[in-house]
Amino acid sequence: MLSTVALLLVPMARAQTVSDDTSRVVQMPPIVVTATRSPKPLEEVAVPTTIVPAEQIAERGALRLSDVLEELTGLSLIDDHGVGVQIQGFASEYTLLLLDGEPIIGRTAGTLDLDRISVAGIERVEIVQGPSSSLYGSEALAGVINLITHLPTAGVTGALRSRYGTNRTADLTAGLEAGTERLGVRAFINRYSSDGYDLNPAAFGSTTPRFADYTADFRLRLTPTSRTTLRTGGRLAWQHQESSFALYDRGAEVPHMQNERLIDWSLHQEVRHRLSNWLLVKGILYAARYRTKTRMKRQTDAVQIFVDDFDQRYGKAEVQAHTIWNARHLTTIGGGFIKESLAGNRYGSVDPKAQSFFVFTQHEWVPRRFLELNVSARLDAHSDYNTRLSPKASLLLRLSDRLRLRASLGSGFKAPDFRQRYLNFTNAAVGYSVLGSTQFANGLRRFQEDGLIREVFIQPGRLKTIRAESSVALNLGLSATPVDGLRISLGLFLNQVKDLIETQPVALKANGSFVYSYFNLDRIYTRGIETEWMLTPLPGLSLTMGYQFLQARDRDVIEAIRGGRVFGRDEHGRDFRLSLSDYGGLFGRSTHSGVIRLAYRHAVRRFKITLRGVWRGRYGYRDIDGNAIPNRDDEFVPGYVVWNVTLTKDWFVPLLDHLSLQLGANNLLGITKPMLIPSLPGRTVYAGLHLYL
Amino acid sequence: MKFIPCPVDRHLIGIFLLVGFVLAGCDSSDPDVSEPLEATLVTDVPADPALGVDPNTGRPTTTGRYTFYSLRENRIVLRSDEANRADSISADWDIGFQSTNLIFNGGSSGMGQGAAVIVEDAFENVTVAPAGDTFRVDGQAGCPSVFGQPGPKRAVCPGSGNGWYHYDAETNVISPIPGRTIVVRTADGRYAKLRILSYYEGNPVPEAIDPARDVSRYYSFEYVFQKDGSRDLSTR
Repeated sequence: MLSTVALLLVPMARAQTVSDDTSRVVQMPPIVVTATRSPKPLEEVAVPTTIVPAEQIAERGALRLSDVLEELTGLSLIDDHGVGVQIQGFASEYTLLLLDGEPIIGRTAGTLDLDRISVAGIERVEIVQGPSSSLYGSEALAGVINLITHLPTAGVTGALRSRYGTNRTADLTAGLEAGTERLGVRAFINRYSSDGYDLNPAAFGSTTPRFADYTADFRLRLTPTSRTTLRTGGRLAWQHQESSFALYDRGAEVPHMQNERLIDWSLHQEVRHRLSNWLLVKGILYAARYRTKTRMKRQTDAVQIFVDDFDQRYGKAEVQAHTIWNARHLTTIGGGFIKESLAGNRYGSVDPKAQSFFVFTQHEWVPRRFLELNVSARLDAHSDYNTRLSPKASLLLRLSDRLRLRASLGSGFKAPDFRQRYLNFTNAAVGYSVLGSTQFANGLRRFQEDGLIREVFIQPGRLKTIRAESSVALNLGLSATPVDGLRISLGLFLNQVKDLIETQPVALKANGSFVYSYFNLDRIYTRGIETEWMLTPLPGLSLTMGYQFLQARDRDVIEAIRGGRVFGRDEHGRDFRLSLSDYGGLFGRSTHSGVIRLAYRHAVRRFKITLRGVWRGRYGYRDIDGNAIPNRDDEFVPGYVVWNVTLTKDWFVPLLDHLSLQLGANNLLGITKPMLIPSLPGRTVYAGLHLYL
Repeated sequence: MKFIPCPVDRHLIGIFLLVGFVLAGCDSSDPDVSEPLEATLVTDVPADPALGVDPNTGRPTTTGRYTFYSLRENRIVLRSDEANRADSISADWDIGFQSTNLIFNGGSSGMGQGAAVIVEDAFENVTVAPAGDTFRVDGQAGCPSVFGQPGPKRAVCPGSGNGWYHYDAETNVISPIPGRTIVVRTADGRYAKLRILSYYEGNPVPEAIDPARDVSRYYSFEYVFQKDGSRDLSTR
């Protein structure tokens, strides 16, 4: 607790320097900010938190956020309209992604594509598992991933990083940083491109298309007095990709082209002022925009068959105050206002707009030297769905220097997303329509006026407004150092989730297709055990082994199986009643998964070797026999392990700070699953050269 | 051995057969006398499949019309692409197919005694048609209410997971739900049980279906028709 107080009081630049030193000074513990919205040593945080510092990001050769997250215990990457991350068995739409504490926007079908996000200029990635809606509101249901940028420090440094590898994948970053005690600036530009690859040459079009992706980032720190820090951050990213694919017209292959442009930016302005030794106030303004343009053309006659534009804007104003009553009590309060707007072909002629405001509070209390308590709650009031109150309580028990116990009970929620609220979409090829909850009444009336409706199943007038999806979660954990050179962490989690939003037909059209809308229908639970063992038998050598056991299940399916109402259809077409042991849980969830990481760092010769294995146990990927659950063997992806290796060597060179060469290979065994995991190329190798000024 | 009363409307059965039944105590489950029921496989019944593509919208053109099928005679009475709908007003058909919709010749759908009920059991385990009052008639039987709103009135409820099929939004495949046996009351009041096997032309094996390539709205199904008018639907 003392450390929390101390960290809050030091001016920001110096606090930054303190955590910068973690790589060099062994005694200094790593600091995290995501768990409590204030700096706190990782070991003293009462919720399951993981940190990946820049040093590890670099030595594993990670370029994009997906590269960082795939090698962590308990996290799985999922291909679904981009690469998303699964935490505690939740799909990626339930994890909030932050850049310096502010939300990254731009999701497609719920997935925020982690391949879009460069980790250049990132000082550390913090991952908090379990619901954090009591501090962050919507989307923080499964967890929060926060990318912390490196704050500009005093002095002048520069970096030029280049890398080239298989599939003509190239990454180039140029960065410059300059500063004094009072002022610091840092900027970088990154270009990431690839020719893509084709894992299935028999099929028309490549598996992953050629693309070029740019990220420009700017950070400024101004410390006019020792009490005040101003920071400004901006990021601009744009991407272009062209792909070809085939559509089928009564069995015949018709080649098409798709052209996709994406541009997003965010601006972050923050001021911190220490009013007194016990009161720190913070003000934040944040704005972000995400736009995509998609065009599909028939190759034979260049006729444009599909146009889809999407434009999302997000604006937030927030104030926070941290009050240190004494060494035992710390209170944080905050509140703010969020404006969102949307325009796009799928959202009708009226551009949807929504407002929400929120207040939150958190109290940290140290009643005894060995005990820390934390209670927090947040109220979110939104124009389109029900008001949410999200409480959370956690405790940390320091039984000894070698043993800590953690427990937290909290609630999370995810607001109905844009599709679920605003979609007004008719599938041109098939003829069905989907109406978001706010569009339902008007959209259905228009269809009726146009004579398109044969039968209405649900009258919109008396429907309840859509509710946010919500959860209650329990996390229990311990971390122990039974002997020097061995660290063990163990965690248990249970998430009970209700009101998951699903589509239901609301009307039958004259063309025989349905009109769908969104309703709060499903109930699921996820529960599991996670453990990580880290051995450091020799200086510089470390071996980490992580394992997760997970059950993610639909409670209605379990009831139906118990009631004898769920059947399977075997390969011979015979129907048979399923038992609970046949149920493979929710799709895309591995019951067993794990990672193994071996690292060796030679301090004198300045080289590092890392070998990492990522194991995904078998998981259900699609339904074949019509019962909507995975149960047949051919409905599962068999388990597999992907091995990655890097070798890094540093040299001191005249005129430069140092130079580093990296050689690496990903997916050493060359595992490919073209249809199931298109984002997994075969074996790739690369070489990188980094110059530091 | 169980005894069931002799059906009274067995006018189509010959005298010597009737005598045989009487001697056997009218037990239709007796292997020596009753004809063993055989399952009939029907493939590729068109259910308003796409006729072409609208050049303006790119949307498949369909008619919204049903194909009417006689389970009693194992034949299509009227195809969905037939513009003359005169035969639809008759007791000749038992079940109608259009897209994922099924109708039965009774209530709001026809002039017959047609009705249906979904039994949640494997096809071969459904050996007896349920009691008359469990049968659902189009236009009369309500589907489960959603959020306090009464559902549509259909014998087999529409929508994924509500009736005979599941629609997978990821793969865009429509699959028959296993363990859903549709017991049909035909237009003339007799009974049949029916299991849908495929919604795609050529009755492909489910693991091979590619909705981009395979043509939908073609029903393949197997059924057992009990022509003696009893509720016995057991097969051997």
